[in-house]
Amino acid sequence: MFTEKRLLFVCVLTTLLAFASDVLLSAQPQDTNDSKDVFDMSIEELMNVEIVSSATLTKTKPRLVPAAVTTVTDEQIRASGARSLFELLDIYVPNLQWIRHHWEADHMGLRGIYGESKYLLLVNGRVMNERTHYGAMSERDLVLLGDIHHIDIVRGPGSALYGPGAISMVINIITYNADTFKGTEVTTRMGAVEEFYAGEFKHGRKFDSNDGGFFLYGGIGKYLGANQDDAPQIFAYDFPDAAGQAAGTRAGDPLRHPGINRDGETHRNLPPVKLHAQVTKGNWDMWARYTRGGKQGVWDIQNLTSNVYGWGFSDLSLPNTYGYQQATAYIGYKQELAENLGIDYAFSYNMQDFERFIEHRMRDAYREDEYYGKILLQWQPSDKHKIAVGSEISHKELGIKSPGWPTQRDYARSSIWSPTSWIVINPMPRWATNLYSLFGEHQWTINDKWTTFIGARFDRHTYTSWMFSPRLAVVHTPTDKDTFKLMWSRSVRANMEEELKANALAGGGDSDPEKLDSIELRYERQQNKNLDLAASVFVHYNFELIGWNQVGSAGNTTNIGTQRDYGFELEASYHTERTRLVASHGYTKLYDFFLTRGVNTNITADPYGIGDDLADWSNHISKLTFQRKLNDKWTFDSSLRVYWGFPGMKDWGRHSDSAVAGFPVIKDGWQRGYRGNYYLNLGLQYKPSKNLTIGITGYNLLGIINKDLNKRNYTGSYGDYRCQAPALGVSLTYKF
Amino acid sequence: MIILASVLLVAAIAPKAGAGATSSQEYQVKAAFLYNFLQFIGWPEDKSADNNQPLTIGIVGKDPFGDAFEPIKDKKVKDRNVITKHFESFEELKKSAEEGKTRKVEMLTKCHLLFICSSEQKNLKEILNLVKDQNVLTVGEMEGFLEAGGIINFLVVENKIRFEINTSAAEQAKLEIRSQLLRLAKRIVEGDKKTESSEKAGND
Repeated sequence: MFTEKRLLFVCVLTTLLAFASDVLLSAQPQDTNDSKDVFDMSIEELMNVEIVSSATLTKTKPRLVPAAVTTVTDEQIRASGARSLFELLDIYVPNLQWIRHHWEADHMGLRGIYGESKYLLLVNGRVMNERTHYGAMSERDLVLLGDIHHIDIVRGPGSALYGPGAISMVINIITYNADTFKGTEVTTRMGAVEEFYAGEFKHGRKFDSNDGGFFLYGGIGKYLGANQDDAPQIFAYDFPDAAGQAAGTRAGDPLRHPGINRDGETHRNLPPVKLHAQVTKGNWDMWARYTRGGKQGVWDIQNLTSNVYGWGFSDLSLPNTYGYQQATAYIGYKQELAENLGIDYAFSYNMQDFERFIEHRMRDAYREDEYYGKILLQWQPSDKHKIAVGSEISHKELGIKSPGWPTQRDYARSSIWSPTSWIVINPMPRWATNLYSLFGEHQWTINDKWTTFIGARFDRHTYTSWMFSPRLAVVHTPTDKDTFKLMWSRSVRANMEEELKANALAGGGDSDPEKLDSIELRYERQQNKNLDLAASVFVHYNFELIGWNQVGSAGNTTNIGTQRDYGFELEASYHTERTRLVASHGYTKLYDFFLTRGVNTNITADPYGIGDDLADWSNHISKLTFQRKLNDKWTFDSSLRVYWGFPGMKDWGRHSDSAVAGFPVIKDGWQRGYRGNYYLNLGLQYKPSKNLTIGITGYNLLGIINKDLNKRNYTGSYGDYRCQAPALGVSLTYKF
Repeated sequence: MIILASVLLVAAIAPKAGAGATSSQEYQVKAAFLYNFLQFIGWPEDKSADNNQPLTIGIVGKDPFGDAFEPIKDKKVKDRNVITKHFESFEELKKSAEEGKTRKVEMLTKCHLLFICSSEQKNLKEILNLVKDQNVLTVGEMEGFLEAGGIINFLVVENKIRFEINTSAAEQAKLEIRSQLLRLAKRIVEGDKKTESSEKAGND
């Protein structure tokens, strides 16, 4: 009841605010300066605007890009009301899935391949992945999205272009700069039920000399999340009545426990922070960035079954939690040697700091520093040929003590504490590694209907042998409307630094990388000026993967076997002056899994003779976004995501039910955890003037009917899940 | 799957509406170029006498601009409003004309600036012939556009938009091009003479 009153209060307040603003502002002269930046530019300024951010080393037209690329624009970010990159990409990217994790940060996956070490996260083309333990760690959880101009998601493997680690996809966040943002803008946001507050400021300005400019962004928030009533945690286990954690809770009932975190609550309750500063001057581009984030999570079933059967850990006064901070400095320079010959240089320093607590004990706390350099030569010897060759070097210092976190007194009872305590080897040593890379691409425009791309990349890490990632693509445009793309590639990924080091210390020599061989056929059609269609069929015919090998209550990350799967994606985009409707459906199916002798996997129960599906994947995923401009001031936005069910999760539950606790933890006949997930968001944007925009978004509204509709599953689940709260968000943006 | 099928069904039966697709960044920039070109062109007295009449940007063919021209609704050039008009393919216009519906063809010739989409490449000479004496600034983005008699042609060089100008065609259309615009062109064609810009690409 109290929750409903809060919702009603916010709705009424927002409505009153909107109308009051309209009354106040309609009396003022309309600002005739349009907010679209390109129309405020002179011809000279327009000639400096760089277009096309493509999934190629050699420059090419958007239509010819040999990849399935999804672009999420700043307008789409605002329209969605998304509260994190997880939510934003879950809404817009076909066949992408967001999964919870009990022990680590949430996962994202694409085409059946999930995990933060399986994709690369970039900002302005610079890889931001944490390399010691996890992978793509930063940026994703932050409610602060106002610095983003657009995001390119290259769907599918991309090591040949981006380097080791681009197995499932590449996410490239492109921030605003002085060319794409001018003026000053302030945004405040708040959320009810899933409670959050955020304030953002941005300012962009060109230099008077018109040869560059600067962009500044600052954002800070407070994310309190949703309580246990609004976002219940559900287990599939009947907890005994007497003694132990969660005593008396039945399978399917919300777990009530004083130590459960609010869903979405930040690490150590620290405010999320993002700062970004960028200066461009002539051919120079420089930026610096700082982010801080992290979230809390609910314990796994094995933690809660302690003290009943003597297994697990006893101190559950605090939730599991992880946190990070990252500071990056980047400098790039474009040298134009001739009209058809140029060299790009880049140098960067990155510091990433990570800590993680499980069952009230510190499990990880370390920092890694990276020094990075790149040189890329781009040459167009003729109209038909474009060539790019380059080299990168990355030097990492690992096992450094964490700077700047509050002291450990909050966790004084932790029995595993050291400034660099480490789950793989304790204590974590200090060490350094290098990664050397050579890469190149040739684009051949055979004629106006045929274009080929041939590329390759060689990478050598201190603890691996040479890794080779080739790519071959053919693009055929038989008519103005039709485009066919055939793409073959091999992508590679080295294991995480901590595992590579542990293997080397154990005398294991160079580690074998993960390898994915894939082929994709994509068809795109511009049916008419209102309708665009696309379809992709892909086969991962040889995926020699590195994954988690559970050994008793612990484990390691190692080569576990070979996965083979296939799938398709269908996309349609219908647009008129006032309406935009985008729909997609993705399907991924495992067709073979060979498990290396002596290891275990939680990716699928197939090698154990149970089922033939991926454990943590919904084979069918549908997404729909709809926008309608009601009039010049009001716009309606909506999105619907459907994960149609998790048959593989049920299979894996059947296989592993007794494996962790020594006794079954999934009730017989349990189905709720494996059914579909449905996320419906509805929103309104109101622009009373050119300077002011007010947005209101209702999140996960189907949960008002039945909370299970909004459930979000965990990886390695024993049938359990946590529901996302039906919630409300409001934003005010004012541009000076 | 049901959702996607429903979308396709709606799309298939929905009537064609005005242009409004979300545009790529390339075409947002080109739209801004077209708007800016209006400031650098002088039209003869009889085409530009009435200040109450808006300046018209016409687009003929498969429109790549989407909603890129949305912002010009409130903008003016030389104190005149700017509007856009979209025309179907030239084949469709010819068919209409043959059926006695000549209004659309007349409207095309009344544009101040006409952007000829790449989809109309095979009809390029016919379109240029139709408007050559109508004081229309013709703009394209295809190979051979200037040689066919077009006035301004877009190029993409090193990921940036450039343009080239045929001053003879402009003269024939009785259009005056300000020297400031000529100076920024990558290439100028004067009849059979060609002059390359003395500035390096990207160094303007």
